Formats: sequence, C-alpha cells, structure tokens
Amino acid sequence: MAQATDMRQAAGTTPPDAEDEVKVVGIVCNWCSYAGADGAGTARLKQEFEMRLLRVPCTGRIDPLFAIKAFEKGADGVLISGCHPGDCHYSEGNYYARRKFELLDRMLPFLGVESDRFEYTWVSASEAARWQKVVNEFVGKVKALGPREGRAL
Amino acid sequence: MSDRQAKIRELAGAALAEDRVDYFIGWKQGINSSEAIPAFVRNADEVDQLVWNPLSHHNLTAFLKRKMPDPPNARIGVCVKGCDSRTLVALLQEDLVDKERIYVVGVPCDGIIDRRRVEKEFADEVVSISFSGDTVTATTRCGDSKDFAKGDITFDHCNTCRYPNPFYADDMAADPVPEPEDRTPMWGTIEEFEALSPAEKDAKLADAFETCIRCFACIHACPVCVCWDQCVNRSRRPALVGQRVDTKENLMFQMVHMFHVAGRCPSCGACDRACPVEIPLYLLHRKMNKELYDMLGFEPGVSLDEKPAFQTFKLDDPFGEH
Amino acid sequence: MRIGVFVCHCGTNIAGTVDSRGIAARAAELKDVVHTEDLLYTCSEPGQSAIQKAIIEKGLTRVVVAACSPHMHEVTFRRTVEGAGLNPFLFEMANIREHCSWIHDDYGLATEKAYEILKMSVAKVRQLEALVPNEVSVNKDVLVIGGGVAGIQTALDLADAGLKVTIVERETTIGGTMARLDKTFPTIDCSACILTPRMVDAAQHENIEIMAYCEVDKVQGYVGNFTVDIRKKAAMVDWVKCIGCEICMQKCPAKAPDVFNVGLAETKAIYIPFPQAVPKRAAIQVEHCRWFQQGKCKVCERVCPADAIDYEQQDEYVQKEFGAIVMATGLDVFPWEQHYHEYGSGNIPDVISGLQYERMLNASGPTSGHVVRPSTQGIKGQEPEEPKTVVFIQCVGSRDESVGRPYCSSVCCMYTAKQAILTKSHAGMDTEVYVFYIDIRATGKGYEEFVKRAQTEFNVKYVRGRVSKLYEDVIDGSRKVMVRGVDTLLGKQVEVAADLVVLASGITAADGAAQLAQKLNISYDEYGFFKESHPKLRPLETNTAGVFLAGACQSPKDIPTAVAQASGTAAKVLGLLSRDKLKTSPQIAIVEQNRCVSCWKCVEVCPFSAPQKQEQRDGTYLSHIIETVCQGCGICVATCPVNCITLKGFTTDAIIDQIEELLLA
Repeated sequence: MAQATDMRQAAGTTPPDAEDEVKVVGIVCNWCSYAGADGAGTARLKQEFEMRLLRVPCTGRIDPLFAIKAFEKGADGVLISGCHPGDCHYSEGNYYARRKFELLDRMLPFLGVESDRFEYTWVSASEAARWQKVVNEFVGKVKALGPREGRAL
Repeated sequence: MSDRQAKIRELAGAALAEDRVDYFIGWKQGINSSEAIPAFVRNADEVDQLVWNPLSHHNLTAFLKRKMPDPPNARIGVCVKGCDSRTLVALLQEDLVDKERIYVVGVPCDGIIDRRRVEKEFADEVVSISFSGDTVTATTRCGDSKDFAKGDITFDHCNTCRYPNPFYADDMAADPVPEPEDRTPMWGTIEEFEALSPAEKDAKLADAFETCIRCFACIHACPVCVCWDQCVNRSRRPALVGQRVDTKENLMFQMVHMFHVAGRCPSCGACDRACPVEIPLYLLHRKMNKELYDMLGFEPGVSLDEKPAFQTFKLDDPFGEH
Repeated sequence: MRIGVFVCHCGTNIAGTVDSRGIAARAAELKDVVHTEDLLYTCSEPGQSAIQKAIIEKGLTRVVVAACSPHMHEVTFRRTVEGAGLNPFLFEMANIREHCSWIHDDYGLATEKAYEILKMSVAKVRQLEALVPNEVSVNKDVLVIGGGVAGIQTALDLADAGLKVTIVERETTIGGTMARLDKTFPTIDCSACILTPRMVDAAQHENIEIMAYCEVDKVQGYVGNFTVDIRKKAAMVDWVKCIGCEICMQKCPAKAPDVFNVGLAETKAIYIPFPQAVPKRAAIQVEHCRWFQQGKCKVCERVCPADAIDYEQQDEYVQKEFGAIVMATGLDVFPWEQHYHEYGSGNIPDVISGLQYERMLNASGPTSGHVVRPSTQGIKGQEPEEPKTVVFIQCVGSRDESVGRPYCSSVCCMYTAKQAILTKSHAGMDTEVYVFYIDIRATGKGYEEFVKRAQTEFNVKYVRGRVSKLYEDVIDGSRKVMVRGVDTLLGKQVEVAADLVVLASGITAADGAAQLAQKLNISYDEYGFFKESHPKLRPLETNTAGVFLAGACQSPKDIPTAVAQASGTAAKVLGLLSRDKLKTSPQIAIVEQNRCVSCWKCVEVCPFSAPQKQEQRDGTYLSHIIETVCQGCGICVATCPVNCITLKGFTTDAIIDQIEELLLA
C-alpha cells in the first residue's frame, strides 16, 4: 500500500506510457459528483488523464453489474461516486448503492481483481478540490497496478 | 432416520387425505437406492414412496417458485430441511410464496452426503447406497463395495451447518436435532481460495468458467432465483450478458445470478449440486454471504420479519465514507 | 440513423487544449455519423443555426454536441434541435471542456481523451429514443420557509401578484435577524421603521398566511405538487384566544434568557420577543416555566384576560399542498465564544458580539439605547458606566481558516462602520473608537463613502491588523479590556486599553439548515448554506425543481441584496406558476409488463412509491410505474432482476454501450 502510494506520487500527472496505459471508468451521479467534476474543471484543477466519466441520474441507478461488465470488457479501474449519504437528490438512492457497492468492493478481490482497482466514494457538487483528489489518487493507484492481464473477469 | 421418514409419510398422507393440499412434494428413491429424487405425491395412498435419508439433497422449495405451481392456485405440501427452510423464509419475506397455500413439513437434518464424492471412488456406476449408523456403504454395478464414514462424505456446507432445524414449518417430522450453541457462521473452504493471489484466483476462475455450458441448471435449481423464463441472462436486450459462450461471459452470467440473489440466497448449495460440469458455485455464494455477514451481521432467510439486505438500508450502515 | 456531430472550440477554452477540428473530422468514421462540423462557439446564435441547418439539410436524426457540461447547455441545445424539428431527447452532450480541456495541459492526450468522450456520447445517442414530456397540473400555492426580511419580501411580492402564500417561521414572530437590528447601513435609518410595516403588511395580506412557531417536518412530491407536513409547536397558549396584551409576561415570576436580546437581558418564561412582534402572541418556554418544572405557579393562567393559557397543548401536524417552495431561512451569528479562546471565550463581560451591540444601541433594547459597559451593569446604587474607548474587531468567524470559516461574511465591514458612527452619536464624539480590520470591503452603493465618513467625519481610527489577544487588566484603578494586536501599516505592535470591545462576528447558516436541506433534497455546502443551481445561470433556483432560494440562507448577504434576491425569486416562482400545466421530465422509468415477474422489488425500493401493483385482466398483478410520480432516479431499474424496467434516457443498453465503446477501442 505504502509502495503504491509512492509510485503514485512519482507518477504525478505525467502522460501515460502507451504500453502501461490504463483505462478507468467513472460512473457518477448527475447531481453531486458530476457537478463536482464540473466544478473541478471550472477551477482548472488538473487531473489524471485516464478517467472517463459516465453520467447517470443517481448512484441508485448503478447496477454493480455495470462495474463487473466494465472489468470484463477490459477496464483497469472503476470508480463510483455520488452524493454524500443524506444528500441524495432522490433521498435514498445512495443508501441502496452503498450496500451494493460495499458488497462489490468485497467480492472483487475474490474474483481476482485487486481491491485498489475499485472504489466507491461521495463527492458533492461543491467539492471540486475533493473530486480532483479522488480522481488523482484513484487513477494513481490503478496506474501503480498497471493494466490488467486477467482473462476470467 | 426411518422415524422421520415414517412421520413424513404420515403427515403427507393426512394432508392429502384431509384435502388440505392438492399435492405433496417430498423425496423418493431414484432409479435405484443410490439416489433420492423429488417426488410429487397426489394421493394419500401413494405416500409410501416418500423417503428421507442422507441422499435427500434437493431443495424442494425450488418448486414453489412463483408462477410454477400447477394449477396456479394449487395448495402444496412441501418438505424442508434447515437450509431449505431459509430459502423458503427468503421467499416469504418478499411475498413470493403464498403462505396460505403451502403446508410445510420440517425435517431436522443430520447432514447430506455428496454422492459425487462417492461416485469418484469407483470406476463403474454406483447402484446402491445404504446406511447403517454412521457408516455409508456404496455398491457398484460390478459388485464393488466400499464403506465410508458419513462425516467424510457429507457436503462442506453440512459440516459447517449452524441451522440443522427448519426455521419455518407447519409440522415437524421429528424433534429438533441438537444445534450448535455458537451460531457464528463458518465459511468452510472459501478461505483456501481467499488466500490465493489475484493471478491464481484468476486462473482458477478461468479454468472453472471455461467449461460452463449455459444449461441454466444452476438458475433453475435455485429456489430464490425467480425470473424464470424472463431471466436477463437469456436476454439480448439489455445486453448485460453476451450470448456467446466464453469464459468471460460465463463468469458474467454467474455474476448476474450472484447479485440477483444477494441478500436472499442462504447458500443452500442447490446451484452447485445442479451444475453438470461441477463449477464450484458455492465459492461465490458463500463468499458473498460471508461478506454480507461481515457488513451487516445479516444472514439471509432467518427471520420472517426481515427484508432482504438490498431492498432496505440503514442511515448509519457501518461502511463507506460518511 | 443519421447522426450529426458538432464539436465546439469555445474560443480557446476547448480548442486551446483539444484539436476540435481534428476530432470532428475523425468522428466521421463512427458508425451512422453522416455529418461532422466544428464550431467556434456552438452555443452562440451562429452555432445553433449551424446545427439546425445541418439537421434540416442532412436529415439528421440524432445530434451530439461536444462542448461544455450538460449542466451548462443541455437545455439550450435540446431547444436548438427541437427548433429544427428533431425530438429534443435525441440529443446528447459530450463534456470535453470541464472534463477535459480545462483539466489537462497536454494537447495530444487531451485531444485523444476528448475523442473518446465524444465516441461514448455517439454510442449513447444511438440508444436514445424520442421522448415526449408529460403534463401535470400545478398547485399555485407557495410555501416560504423563514419569515425574515427575505421571506417577507418574497411573500409580499407573490401575494400582490395574486398567489396564496404560507410563511412558516420557527420563532413565535416573523422578522428574522433584521428585527433585531437598530439601524441599517449606509443610510442609518431605523431598521424597525422599514421592517415592521412590512411585517404588518404580510400579516394583513389576504393572500398570506403566517404560521409562526411552526417547522417543516416532511416534504414529499415534486415541482408543482409538493405535500408538506408542518409541525405546529405547542406554545402552551391558545393563539386564537391570545390578544398579545403582555400581562402574562409582566406577571410571570420565572426568568428566562432573552434570546431576542442575545442574552443581554432576561425575559420571562412566558414571553413575546419584542413589542412589534407579528403575530403578537405569547409562548411558554417550558424549560424555564415553574408550572412545568416545579408543578406549581399557574400565574399566567390566572392573569390572562383572554383565558388563552393551555398547559395541555401538544404539537400538532398539518399537511398542506404547494406548487413551489422558497427557502428563506436566513442566518445565525457565528458562535465566536466556542472558537476564539484568545478573545476570552465569552468570559470577559465587556467583550460582546456585533449583534449584542446592535441590541444595546436600540432604543427599545435592554439598555434603552444607552451604550454601557456590561461589567458595570446591575450593580446596586451605581449607574452603568459609559465606555470612553470602544474597540471593534472585524473578521471574527470570517476569513479565518483556523476556525473553518474561510469566507467573507460580507456585512461586517459595513455594520462595524455603522456601529462605530452610532457609538459616537450615542456616547459622545469624544469617545475613542478603533476598528481593527484586515481589509475594508465596501462594495455596495454608497458603502465606500459611508466608511470614509466614519473615518473622516466621525474620526473613527481604523487600524489594519489582526488582534491577537484580549485580556482584562486594571489600569489606574479601572478595569479595562486590553486589546493587543498589530498595525501592519506601521509594522508595529499596538495595545489599546478598551472599555468595550465589539466583535464583528460573522455569519453562519441558520441552525438546522443542513437537516432542512435534506428534507427537501437540496444541496448545501460544507457551511450549511444552500447551493444554487448555477451561480450565474440559475442563481435563485436549487437543483431540485420547484425549490428556490432567497436571502442569507444561500450565502451571507446584506439587506438590500437579500431583498433584491427575494424579489427576483418571487419573479422566478411567478414564472413557474404562471402556467396551469407543467411539463414533467420524460426521463423516467417504465415497466415492460410482459417481462415483469411480479417480484415487487421495485415497489419495495422506490423512495416515491411510483411503482404500483397493477391488476391485470386475469386477476394477476404486474408492476406499473405512475409517470407523474416517478422522479427518474433509476433505483428500481438497478434493482429489477429481469431488467424489465427501463429508465428512459439512461437505459442499461446505453450505459453498457458507452462502457464498451470506451473499452473496445
């Protein structure tokens, strides 16, 4: 873990090496994390390149199978982010999501996917700096692990 | 054991004779004494075919699955073991089975034997299995015979069973068997798998799932898997699972099953036993239940008043960032 | 399918880091893309015209615009494509500005990423279907939460326009913070003379109902059709009978802290906060009442001429329907005592907050408008002493990261100048007045001139620097508050022996604001201020349709700004409610009933009870989602095991296709 952190810091936001290029999918809710990412953009907060975002209304919309599908199709990391508990635009979506993604988080290592390759977190619309931090740390960890070479999932 | 068998016959006979049920689902001998298979008994004078022995592995609650009763309003009697009763409770929690139309005979259980393990000890076909105390004697068509200590050939999940008595039954086939005082769940052999490196796990999963033939036996045998002919695993829209049979899509197929039964599956092992290519599905489902227990202290199907774990939440669920 | 792709330069905002022309050209290779174009400013009139022209001339059936965030211009472009005859939901935005060009420096890589984002959007647009909004009828009543000056202004504007307005106020009177102020800057006119007539206007308005001493308990529904449970707190006084005569208050033997006067005086257990209260009704503070605490007394019951006292009164709940909700919950003063230990944590009697001083300056306040040293009050046979040296300290609980308040409270510079001037006029021109400040922020109309007046005309001494410590000492036999600070302009330590120190304590969100926000599902920031939908495009709206903002609940504001915003909000509400029908978002969930297996998980998880068990002809039941109730969150969709529920606009296939498009590359 400490080693991974060091490697991440060394990597910084340097351009990825074509061979080591990782693919990271972020599935975020429209109201909080997508808006938080917008805020980070507006504030020109520099971020790692590899994150690709997919917008859904609510983390409650996200089937854990989407994350598994992404891994199956070759993603090297999957990030789920939504509103903080209590702040869901639809009241309860992130509470259901929290249970589902906690289970997924615990199952993935059992399926041969390193735990640093998946994360679920909460970033509000006003937390631009936090979004930058979440993206850079998460992508940093995935980069430290490198591309996946698995064939099962 | 024969006492329980006799009692099952008696209770089933009475229910049929008194017209409390249209038919009764129990176990009967298969083509020979080496196996037990599900039995649908429609007349009180046919109850003598019902058996109870350590081969009665089928989880008969699978036949209660929604839309399956035939005719649709049939009143059904059914036998359940401890593990089977948890799937029944899970179905009742969601109102997927009409409590008023079932008559449940609970059977305290001493463990079920893994017939596959016995088969693998012989070169030819096992045609007879008999029981005497804790000794199990298997005989083949050629007359080879071998004795086993029952404990050596029971299922892994029976060895770690914490709930040998049914949770839900209208009548019991015997007094409850002694239960372990410590009800903390045990997870058996999954720890070996957990200890593997990511690459080793990956290799094992790839090996296992390469052989899946998508026969859907796991899905059909699963008592809490209720979508039946509408299963998304068969669907091209949405294209969640590719219909091409390959290792990755096969694993995806099982992921769908796993997440769809999460919080409702008590790892009864029916899927695992049904798999013709012996994919160790129990690994997935018991790992899932281990983590659910760790997350929420939750065990599926142990209380009628509880909701399945993923159809509810607590504001202060003790995980994730707050 | 004929897809058109339009890539924006956004001047150099995108094109500075992303090869907009290049990715537009490359997009032509994507399946079904028949037209690509790069545009300098896609949202401008020429940009929108170009899209419309291409739709018509090339017969486009789907449009992707790669530009800024959909939160910025999705609505704009939906309207654009609709203008050219295309269904507005056959449109998708690729965010290559906020999520790409603005966060990367490397031209090549940013261009590559932008192209991938664009490809994902093309994959999604291929899965979209034409959608038609539903219409729902609109309830035209408005709920205003909070009866301060902003809430009153919004309510009056709406009521004058003919709408029925309910003001829910948690205190026993409306008026809010402004009712506690003595004078207002920069005109030094009487706060009460401005506010109290407005309070009376509100109370007497035929279209306004004031529900004082009430709180919002629960909010359900959606824009145009909110159902709100309101808790009427038990005042232990029947307000229908109470005539506000104050006799109970005069006779009550039990003392209680006077919250209205910020603890500078005491009130009674049964109280009316101030003489001009609206409604002027008494309430018992149960925790201080002798009857409730000791089981004897009942003086108020005996003296009440209206027979209004009711010791058995319980909280009541009423349910009301509204079409729109305005948040006007105002502010609280930063609790400096808990954070500024170097200023004595509230233990030095002659160190008070700005709001306390405001009460002291007020003619109907606890000292009848006399400026006094609190340490000399209440001593028998001695008149309270008037301070000869008064020090004001600005930015207490503002612009101070060490107490977690990095923001400017925006009013303290001005109210300090006002109070400094008033000090001179109340305690005499010979009073020494110092103001310690970091910067003077006097940006409003007439504000800078006002501060200048304080400095020149009233000879208030402004010292630029922070005060590091306040402590008591006895100088020449008299007790002083020693103010130790630094004058950064002179570059030296300064120490002032003060008789009175007034802290320009900053503004925080009202207590409980975050909890209320959660009830309404609106966003709030880390300080509890409610978040506007967009600071420039939708500053008066929240992200929850039908919920609006007015006043300091959104951010610290002075009165002119709060009132201006409140009127703006009223205009927004009127705009919404001027329609008889509202179009609801068609991006909602729908059940494909021939695949439903009646497992009812959707019914179980929906926060809005949109899915219902619908009886079929054969007597069986299948799930059915009520369109106007569905909010489009998709929780049911992710829960439905057969995936027979589809969230329009965010279908499972669209999501999977986006993932695959990205990863198959």
